[in-house]
Amino acid sequence: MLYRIARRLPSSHSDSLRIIARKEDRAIALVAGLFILLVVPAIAGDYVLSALLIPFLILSIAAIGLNLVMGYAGQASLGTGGFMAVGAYTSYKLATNIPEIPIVLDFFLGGLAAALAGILFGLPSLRLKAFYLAISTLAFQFFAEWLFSKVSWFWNDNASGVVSIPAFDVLGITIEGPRQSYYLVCAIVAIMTLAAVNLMRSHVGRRWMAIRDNETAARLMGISVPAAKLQAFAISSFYCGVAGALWSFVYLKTLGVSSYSIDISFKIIFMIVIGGMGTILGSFIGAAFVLLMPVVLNAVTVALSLPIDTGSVSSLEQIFFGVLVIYFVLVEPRGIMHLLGKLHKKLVSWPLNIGR
Amino acid sequence: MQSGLPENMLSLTNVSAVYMGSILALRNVSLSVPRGSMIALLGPNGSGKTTTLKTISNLLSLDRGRVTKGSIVYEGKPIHGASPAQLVQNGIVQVLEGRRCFLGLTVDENLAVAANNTRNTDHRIVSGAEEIYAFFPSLARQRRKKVEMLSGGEQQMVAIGRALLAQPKLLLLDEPSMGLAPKLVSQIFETIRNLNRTLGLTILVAEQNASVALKHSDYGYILNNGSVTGGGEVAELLESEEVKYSYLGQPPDKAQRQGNDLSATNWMT
Amino acid sequence: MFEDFQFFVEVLISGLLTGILYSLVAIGFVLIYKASNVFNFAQGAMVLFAATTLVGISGFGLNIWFSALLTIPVMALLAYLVEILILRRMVNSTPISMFMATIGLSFVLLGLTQLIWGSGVHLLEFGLPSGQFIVGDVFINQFDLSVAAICAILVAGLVIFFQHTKVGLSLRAVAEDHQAAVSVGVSLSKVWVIVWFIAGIVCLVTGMVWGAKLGVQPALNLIALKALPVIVLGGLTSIPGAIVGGLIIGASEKLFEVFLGSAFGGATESWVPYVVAILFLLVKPSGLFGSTQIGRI
Repeated sequence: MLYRIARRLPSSHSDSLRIIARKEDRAIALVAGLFILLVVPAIAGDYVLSALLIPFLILSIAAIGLNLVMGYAGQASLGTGGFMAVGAYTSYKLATNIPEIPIVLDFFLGGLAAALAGILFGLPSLRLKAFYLAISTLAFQFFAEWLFSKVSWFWNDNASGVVSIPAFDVLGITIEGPRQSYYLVCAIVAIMTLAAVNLMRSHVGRRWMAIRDNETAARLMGISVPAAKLQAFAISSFYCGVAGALWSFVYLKTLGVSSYSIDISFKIIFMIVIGGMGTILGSFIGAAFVLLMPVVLNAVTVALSLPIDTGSVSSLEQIFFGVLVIYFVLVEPRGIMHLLGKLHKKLVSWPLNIGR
Repeated sequence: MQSGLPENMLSLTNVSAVYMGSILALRNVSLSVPRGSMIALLGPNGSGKTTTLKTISNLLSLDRGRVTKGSIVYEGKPIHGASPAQLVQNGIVQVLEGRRCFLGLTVDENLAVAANNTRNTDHRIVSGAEEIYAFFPSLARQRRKKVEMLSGGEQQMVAIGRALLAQPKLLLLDEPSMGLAPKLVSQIFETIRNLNRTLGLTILVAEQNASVALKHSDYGYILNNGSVTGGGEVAELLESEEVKYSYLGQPPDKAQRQGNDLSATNWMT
Repeated sequence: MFEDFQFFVEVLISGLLTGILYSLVAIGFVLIYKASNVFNFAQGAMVLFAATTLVGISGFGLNIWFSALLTIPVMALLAYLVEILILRRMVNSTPISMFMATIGLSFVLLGLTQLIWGSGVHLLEFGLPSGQFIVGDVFINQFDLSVAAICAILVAGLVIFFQHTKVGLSLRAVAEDHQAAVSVGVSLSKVWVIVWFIAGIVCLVTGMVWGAKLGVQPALNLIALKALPVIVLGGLTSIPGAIVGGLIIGASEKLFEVFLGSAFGGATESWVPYVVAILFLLVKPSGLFGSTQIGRI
């Protein structure tokens, strides 16, 4: 649309290895990156940053995590909330008991703990498929909810089950305002997105996709299916664990098991179903969609001054999401990403495709 | 022949069909099935035999397929888009590839499913299950057994009997020979031809075993890569080099080997 | 020692009787899975929907049994809508996308229930006995026993329907091979509507029984989800499996909670059923009575 894309194939090996193939696209990405880093924090108010952008970025990590195991490796998981909780509580324990460890490292150690849980509860995936696996991840979800609500050791035996997060600093800067939080989250999201994109372009990702598309064929090609599945569970849970830690430390500033209930697992499933299974960018789009929709719905009811109480709004929201998920599963199983792809194709050949 | 009805019970004109919205399975297939005839549909794996039959019975819709162009006319009326269940009521009944009996149900129950769900009364060709048992005496002895206990040949009989109880005018058979011993294959085909002659049932049978199929049919079509590449009276087909080479296992003439026929059939080698 | 044993038996019996409640949900689940190959995550939502609708209708001052009668057409309508809006568009989809769609369906149903009838706890009373009686030295709850009787009647009704009616035979044929059934004139849409309707009735019965025990409230949805481990344990396609699975799950969660749970902080019923089911699956992946499925390449 803006530039010629026809007949522009990579001419060298290093060209073909680029994440973003065309230099125009790279320029666009650079501008977008600068916009995100410089302009957004300058023009966005505190509310937009702390109530919309930060949760959006954090849940995007979780959505990428779920997409890795579900969209790329084809293993259903309903336990995202549980893995996030493992990450959060591990980080909390480490941050409060061993303050010598830099806090960012705590987040990643939390992710590591979640990865271990992922391997443990991914073990059934070696014997079980589809629904059975979904049930076993559901088991993990309920087990985690129970564990973190009953065993007070995890929140340092505080009287209340919901503890507040102490202030912390990164590289000597205390993270307090929404802008600092935003930059911190941006940095982590950037690293993890880049890692995920590259991982999926490597033999690891191709192995997972092979298993997703045909497990038997993958096995016959010499792929170690058990190892690859556990790997998928581990890496996916790592992402969810980091997202869970950030969710408490950066967004909520409190830690309670109710923030990691099965509701959040569903929310993240909806994100990837709506955004697009098996695409990293789709995780972001889905996360934005799922988070913004309630805000928009609320704004609409307020703007039209409809006589609806908040309880009904939340029910409507529930119905709305249900309908959306059914719609996407039935009509557009490849999510918004696919819709965008179609739109892009149309725009590229515009105006030659008018009337077609 | 009854008056007022077209001579061709069924005709397909330039029918194309796709799976999953994009995978082209049939390309401009045209064929006609005269009333009371038995037609063989020949072709290798993946040539579109099954798709052709499923297009007619619209079981294609259950495989996420659909017809993209062309017309299917049955008894003088277009049937495009009718539901499979409706088509069965109108007399188009298919015996699926691989028999597909209800394995956990008894022989009696298998037949009853078809008998219970057929509402039409204007063209009954068999009176009831007893008539099926008269056709296939070996089934009668095992009527209370679960079908999974039966042999392949007997299961094929159940599948055919079940289809007959749906009171077809046009019977579509998909690979009745699949997985059966050669002797059974010719028996099954003799039975089918017998049904065609005694009941006046019009039959379209898709088959890989060309020699048996042609032996028992009036007319044959050859499908290749989703298109009809040949067709004619059985006697003509048995003489054609393409059929001889590709389906009957006879070596072609040297001259023929360099001809065009071969390029169309190189899937065999 | 004897006291301990007596206590053990009491716990076991109360667990088994709770398990029957799980079996009830699981039966509806198995019906739907068999006939339409849908792993229906919305089963719990359907139970809540049925029970709340019943309570809502009786709120207009109607007799409870009459309200139940009026709820039946609502469940029929639900089955019809599910068929035309979801099932017929999903023929031959992957199992996972079907599963996703039912998650969506459960959200729609839960939202609808709350939107129309609110989210409070409603009492439901339809005259089940509540006393206890003593057999030997063991106390047995009359309520639980009547639930067992209701379950038995329901199962007997289903067996008669499936084994001895023409429609039941068509349903079994579809469960065996839906394409073959269609090829001899069975209408899939009709079968699906009927199956979902029957499952809806089972949900209504379940909802009534549970409503009488715990009150009709949104939490019923989560409790009904325990039908998942039950059917996984019993094998997805087997009604006897659903019953035995329910009993095993009910008994094991109660025993674990009473004898070990306190050491772990209690309230272990939320996850023990799932773990029991998974451990069992690792030994026998097709479940107790499930058919071993042959995967096609």
